[in-house]
Amino acid sequence: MKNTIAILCAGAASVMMLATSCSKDPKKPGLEYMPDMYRSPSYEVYSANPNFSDSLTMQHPVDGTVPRNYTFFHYPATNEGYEAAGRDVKNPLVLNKENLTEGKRQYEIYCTHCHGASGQGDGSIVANGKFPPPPSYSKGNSSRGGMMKDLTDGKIFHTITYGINLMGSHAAQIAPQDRWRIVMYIHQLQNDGVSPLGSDSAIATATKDSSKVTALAK
Amino acid sequence: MSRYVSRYLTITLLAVFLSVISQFQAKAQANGESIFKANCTSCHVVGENKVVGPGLKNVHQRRSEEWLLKWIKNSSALIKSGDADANKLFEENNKIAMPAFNLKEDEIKAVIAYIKTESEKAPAAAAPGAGASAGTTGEEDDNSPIVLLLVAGLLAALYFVLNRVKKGLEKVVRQREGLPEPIVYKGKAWAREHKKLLYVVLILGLVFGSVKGWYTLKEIGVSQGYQPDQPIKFSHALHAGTNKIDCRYCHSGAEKSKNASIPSPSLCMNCHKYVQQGPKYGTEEIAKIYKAVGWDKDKQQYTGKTEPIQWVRIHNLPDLAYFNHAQHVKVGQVSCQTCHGEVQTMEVMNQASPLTMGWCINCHRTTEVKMDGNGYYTELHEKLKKQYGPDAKLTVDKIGGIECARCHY
Repeated sequence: MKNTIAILCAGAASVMMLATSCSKDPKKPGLEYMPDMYRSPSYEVYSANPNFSDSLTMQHPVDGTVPRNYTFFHYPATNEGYEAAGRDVKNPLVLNKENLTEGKRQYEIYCTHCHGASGQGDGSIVANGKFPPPPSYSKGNSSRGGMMKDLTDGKIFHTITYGINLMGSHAAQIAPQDRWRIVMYIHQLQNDGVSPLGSDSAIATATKDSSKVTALAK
Repeated sequence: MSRYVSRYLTITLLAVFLSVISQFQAKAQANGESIFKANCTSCHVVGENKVVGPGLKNVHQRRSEEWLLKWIKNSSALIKSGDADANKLFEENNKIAMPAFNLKEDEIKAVIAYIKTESEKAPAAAAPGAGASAGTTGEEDDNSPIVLLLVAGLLAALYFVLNRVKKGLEKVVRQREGLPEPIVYKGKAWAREHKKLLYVVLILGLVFGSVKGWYTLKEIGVSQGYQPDQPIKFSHALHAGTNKIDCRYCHSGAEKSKNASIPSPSLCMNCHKYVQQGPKYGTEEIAKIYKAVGWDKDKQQYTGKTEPIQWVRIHNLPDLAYFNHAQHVKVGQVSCQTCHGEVQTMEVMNQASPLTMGWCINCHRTTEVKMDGNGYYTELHEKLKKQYGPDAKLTVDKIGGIECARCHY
């Protein structure tokens, strides 16, 4: 009798192992039971849509529509537009600690991997040799004449908006207000990281070592 | 004696002179490299491919030094002067003017010298990683069930044959010894005689069925580990891990909207206009971006013919639950990896978390809300401090994070 129980237990254990060992195929999403409430009939943002000739659910806004509170930037993506913006446009945001800190944060998301944490053109993809270095904000020459450290509000904003040379347009990723905050922080980098605010409210420039690795918050 | 001295002196002087010259040359070249990298690389490479301006490989053979000096110092003046080569070049490059460079003559010469040395060693350095083509290791795994079935079939056949042989032998022995034929049970009679065996099989079957059933039930609607093939073999390990590009550079919607957003291929072009070859798949996968965005690599122009890339969605909450990225990433300051796992190490993206309701709720019960210095919560924080005491642990469930209608409405 003892023997039978032992055999039975061993059998049960091996059967359980057999039952759990079969793993599912990682290339398939797995089973869904009555998915009526999982998937609604409406089209999802990125799903194909037979109602439009280009089959995209996300359509471009109608020509001429503008988001609320949108600020216009009327300067074309030409050298003339660049010079004119540099002459006429000033940063509409107030220089304060909040804006500057946010500018630094945005800079670290969108700019650091090329321009480097301290703006010397030594970002991560430059350091590993995959991309040519952009000029240093404090020491380099601008390809459109003059020194990088002399670039004005409007010129920097124009460049982020339209791109120049190897740098593409970043208008789709960075909202105009955030672009202005980044411009604010770039002025600090142009001045070798010396904060434009008084010493009591200054924010520190990130150094190469302190730049974070993709992770968001710590 | 003095003759020896003077001879040594001459040799030493000559050696010093030669080393100074060679050092000077090396310096000029190093200088050329640094000037080139500071001024030229945003538009040119020493290769055959065009970036913004044409590739500069062997440019010292194509153009005279005198012409190059004029062109680099002030290209638009050279174009205006009616120089045929300059005008042709301007037309060929979509009339993008090269800015004038305020460089000294010997600096430009150092750059030309640098381009010359680079052009001569370029073929060896060209095409890094082109040899490492795609491996096809996935094939072997696909065969394993078939192999197992074959082995099982062979064993079954062996069993059958051996059994027949055994029965034959027994029959021969019985006939020789004069023993009676064994009783052959059929159907119910067999069952009555082998009750014990039947019970054992029944119990094992029940155990197998319930365990298997339990695990299958638990997997319904849970796609943890889902790792489909994508239309472009994009590696998060390379982009976010090796290159250290912030997640939000591409998924810029994560802070601004419900959807973390899949970057449009025009964003890929921010880097891949220049980076035309990957370390693993060469030009094959990057060519798919060019096709989607309608980029003519040779002419460096957009053709206007675009086509969408059909990515396979991995993380997909059922529509009955509402989830907002901005709420978690911007307001809650939750890192991407908390839910998506160590994406910066994933060669092929997969679903790291189960995305079940229990998983959401557990996190809401244990995660403290980052209220300090978070403008979204200033007012609420004061209220909650009064309600729960000043030192209470304010987790997400304390601000309504486990109420049904928070996610289901």
